[in-house]
Amino acid sequence: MIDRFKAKFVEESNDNVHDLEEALLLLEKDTSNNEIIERIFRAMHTIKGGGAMFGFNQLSEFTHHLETVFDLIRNNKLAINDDIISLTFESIDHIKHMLEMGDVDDQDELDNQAAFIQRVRRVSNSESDTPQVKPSTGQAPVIKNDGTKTYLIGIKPNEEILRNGTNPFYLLDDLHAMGEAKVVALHTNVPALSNFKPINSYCHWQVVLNTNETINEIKDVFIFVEDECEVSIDEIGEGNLLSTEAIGKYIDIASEQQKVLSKVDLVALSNTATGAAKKEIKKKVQLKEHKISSIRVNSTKIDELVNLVSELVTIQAQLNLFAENDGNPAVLALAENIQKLSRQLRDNAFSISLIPLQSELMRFQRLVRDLSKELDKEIEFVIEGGDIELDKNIIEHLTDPLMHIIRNSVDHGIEMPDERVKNGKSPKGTIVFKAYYSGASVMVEVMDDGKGIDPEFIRNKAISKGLIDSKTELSRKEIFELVFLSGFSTKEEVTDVSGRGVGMDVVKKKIGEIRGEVSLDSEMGKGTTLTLELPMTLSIIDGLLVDVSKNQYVIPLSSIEKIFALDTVSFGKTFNHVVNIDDNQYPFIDLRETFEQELTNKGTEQLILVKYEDRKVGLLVDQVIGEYQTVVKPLGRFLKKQENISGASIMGDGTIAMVIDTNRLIHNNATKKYRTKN
Amino acid sequence: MMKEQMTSIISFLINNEVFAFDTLKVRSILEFDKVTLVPNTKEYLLGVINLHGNIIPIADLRVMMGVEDVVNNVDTAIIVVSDDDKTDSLIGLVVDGVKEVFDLDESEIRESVMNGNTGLVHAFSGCIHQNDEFVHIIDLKEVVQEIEK
Repeated sequence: MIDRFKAKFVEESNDNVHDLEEALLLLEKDTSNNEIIERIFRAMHTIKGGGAMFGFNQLSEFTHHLETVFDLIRNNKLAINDDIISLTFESIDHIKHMLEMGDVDDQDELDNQAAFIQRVRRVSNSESDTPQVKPSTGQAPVIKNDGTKTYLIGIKPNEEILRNGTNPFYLLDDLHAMGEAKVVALHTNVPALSNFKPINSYCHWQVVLNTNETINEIKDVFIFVEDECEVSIDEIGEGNLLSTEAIGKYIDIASEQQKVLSKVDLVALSNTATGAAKKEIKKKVQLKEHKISSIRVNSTKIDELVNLVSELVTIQAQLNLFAENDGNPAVLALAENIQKLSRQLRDNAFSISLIPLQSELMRFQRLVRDLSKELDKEIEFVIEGGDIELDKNIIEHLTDPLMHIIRNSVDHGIEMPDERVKNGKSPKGTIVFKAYYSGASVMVEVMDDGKGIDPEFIRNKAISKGLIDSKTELSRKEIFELVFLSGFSTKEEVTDVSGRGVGMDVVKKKIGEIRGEVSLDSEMGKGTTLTLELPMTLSIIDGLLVDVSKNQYVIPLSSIEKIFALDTVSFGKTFNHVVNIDDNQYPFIDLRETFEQELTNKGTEQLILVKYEDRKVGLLVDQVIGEYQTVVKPLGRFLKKQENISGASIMGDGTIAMVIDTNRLIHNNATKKYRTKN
Repeated sequence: MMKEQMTSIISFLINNEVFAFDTLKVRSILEFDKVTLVPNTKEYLLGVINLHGNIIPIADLRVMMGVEDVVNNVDTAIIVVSDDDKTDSLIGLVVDGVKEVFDLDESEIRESVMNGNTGLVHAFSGCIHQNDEFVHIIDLKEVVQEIEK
């Protein structure tokens, strides 16, 4: 039982850690944002409390020390600097580690922890050395928020006030007793000596008072002189504003020049003094609202749901088939209704398994930050389209390749700051991560404004590695394609950052596993762009059912351009697999030949023109059967090697049709030509 | 007294010889019916079938064992096995016919007398003598590894 609670705690804490990391990244950009500091503090506090409750005592202790640091920051007793942020990042990693391990007895581990705690404590103890300064407030002393308020009080007694025996000075004394006060006496109303009546009072006063009393308490001071005095009380701001230099000066000058203190001026001054901090908050850095309208579900349950719905769709197709053959109108109507429902259910189930890319981007942001620090590069990581949603399974497969791509950009793409300046660029490099919908696909681009890749260099490299023949003529696009061949890695030495023996070929393979495509484009000196084209969901496609040597195959509709019956097709040099259609020549692939099947049918073939990158390629099939919406099931681990087929689909009558992966089919066919090895 | 360790095996025929699998690895036994071809695969991979909405690959164990001319008849069967419990690991193996399931004490299993390779299957986990016949127990891991290669 307790284990279950523990697991729940770990799961929730991981969320908190995630939140912590996100907030910390925001904080790094905007060190004076109190909201973010509060958020960090809260997250730490939750981890600490929960840790103690569920027996993660070491975690709790460690987090306590970390929390102390942020408590100091929160109370403006400690200034945030890069070291603190870096240390906190490390600490977050440590918290993750501790969540995984639980309490440990291992001495090494304990020493490690003690050392870490020492490091954290050193930061919180350094409080006294650091003057109470927030970086953004510059040289102005920080206004301590100690619960006091500063008021501007104007006292303008009637001229006759003294006749009642009231001494206005006592009022001022009362105000002084409430806190720190500065008084400006205005004597501009004092008449010329000839008109001066000694029993009259001609002065009036303005008092700037800092007190922890309420405004009502201040009003009480004047309770007996209400009728003889004009009194105004205005709040200027929180904290002791008298201690700020600007306001002190303003009051002194006013006193000297007999100027009336204006509330507007004081408020303005207090705002500049309390610094950009407050304004910044208004300016925003909108923190994401925490959604409580969502529930946490185990991902295997969702997988199961999607599987069940897939099966339902299949069976529903069988029902439709039966209803049509049966001809009973009642059954037909029922089947139709079920079809409607199952379609809605399917769409719903699939949308559940979609999650926004944002969830993964955090760790890339962290990666770029850590790596650029390590390599002494300055890099900004810009995210566009983080709210784009993708199938959970696709996102899972995407993490490693993207990690590799971004590493490459940081390591090889972006130059060192001085080199960038030499080339007339800003010292700070930019990596843009951009995601957007394009038809039925999601495009993901990773762009850097680094040094770019020289196509000639790639070509020579490929020749030296024996990947291509030195005589082979390649287009620019084809040259960049070479990067994805296995055995191609441009960086000579293996660095810690990228090039750990895995190259772009692995990226291509991984992306290929989720039916995605990857391409690269680069301009010398301008930068490199890697583009991933991904399917939105893995399991459902619109397809065209065709017959090849008595076997059924599905070709994804999204890639089909046109279908031709053979008689309108005039075969040109058929031995070269090129066909003339409407004055255009297209290469074609005879699927029967590719699939190593007998040519049982001659004369009624149909040609399906499909898109392949920027070209069009024909696929020769025996017969086109019709359009079909289908659930694609994976072929499983035993048939993984099979490259031309991306999956299998169960038809209404229970038979199976293979789903053709046209991109890979054509690619495999094309590469056969210049593959010199194997 | 030696502790009895009971186990059960399922025996089947390939080319008139008797072989067996551990029953615990067998998920179901099917009649040999139409198999949907998957192009560009190894010779012994016949294709896939639809088993309760799951796509199950089918390998001809007879071809794997080096039988040259395989004949399908009413006795030809598919034994669906899995070396772990995942759906992904299900695979159907075609044999000439399923014989019987029987219990035995593990101590009855002797070391296999087969040496060398039988087709693509390199190792047997043992052999027993039953009703004047030798039954060779096939190591499923061995078969699965070969197919996955």
